[in-house]
Amino acid sequence: MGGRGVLAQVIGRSTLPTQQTALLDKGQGDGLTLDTLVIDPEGVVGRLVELHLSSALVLLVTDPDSRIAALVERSRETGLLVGRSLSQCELVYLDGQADVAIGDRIVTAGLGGTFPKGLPLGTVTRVSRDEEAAVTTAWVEPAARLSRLEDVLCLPMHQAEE
Amino acid sequence: MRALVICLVAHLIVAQGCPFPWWVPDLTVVGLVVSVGDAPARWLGRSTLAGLWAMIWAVRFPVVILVGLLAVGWAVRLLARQWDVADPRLQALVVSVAGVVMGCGALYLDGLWSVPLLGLVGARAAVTTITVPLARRLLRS
Repeated sequence: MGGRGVLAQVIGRSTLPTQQTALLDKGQGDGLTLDTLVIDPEGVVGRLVELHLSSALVLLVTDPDSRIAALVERSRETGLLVGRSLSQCELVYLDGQADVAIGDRIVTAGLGGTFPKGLPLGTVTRVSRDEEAAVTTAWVEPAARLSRLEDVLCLPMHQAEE
Repeated sequence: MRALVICLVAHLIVAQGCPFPWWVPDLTVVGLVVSVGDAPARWLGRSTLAGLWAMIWAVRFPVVILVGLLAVGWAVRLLARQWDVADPRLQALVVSVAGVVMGCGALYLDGLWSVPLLGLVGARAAVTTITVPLARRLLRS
């Protein structure tokens, strides 16, 4: 497989808008494994959730099943980036006084094993605070160009960490 | 069958080129309704083909998606006993109802109820319905 991951082409996008996936032209035969990280030049695209011999299905970060431990690059506040089947994701589990503002860059927190720390996830576009529940939620525009995916890089965890 | 296959391939191409998945009309349902409308007795084979095609993308509830498209084909077959299902107005009605029901079903199963997403389901059903006469014209030319 080489030491720099596998370059793959996106050969199809989901026709189901609530299930945001993309089909790649590389699969198990090219050395890919489940949960392989998929990135484009701008940031995290998602992870592999289905593998075939010569194709693989990527679960995009905007899919509702996508959950990534994330942190605000500037303030180091941590939360969970969750897909909502829209073009933006939601950063949840921030406390009411969380230091997060529009324009902040969100990166992977490196928790949970699938994603290494520090990869760009997106930029905060909106922040809402619920003072009664002491909860802050931030809407995040994904860094990866999910609407124009062409070539992506698949990185198994041990290579992504290097 | 030709109409269905063309619509399935067109759905894939449009989904690939469209920046926002909710703007893509559900050409799978359009192709199924138009195709079964032309030959109601063949609803089972055509619905199964459409369902299997849609299942390629499913990471959740693949069987529900298959059953949903089988139900659309069966509904057209059932309507054919009383009405002319080759009528474009009836086809448009079936497509719009199927779009709303399947869209709301998907939101329910994924626990995604929200006003913006309900609006998108309605908008997608409307865009899909608009493509019915266009698809019929293209498929018969």
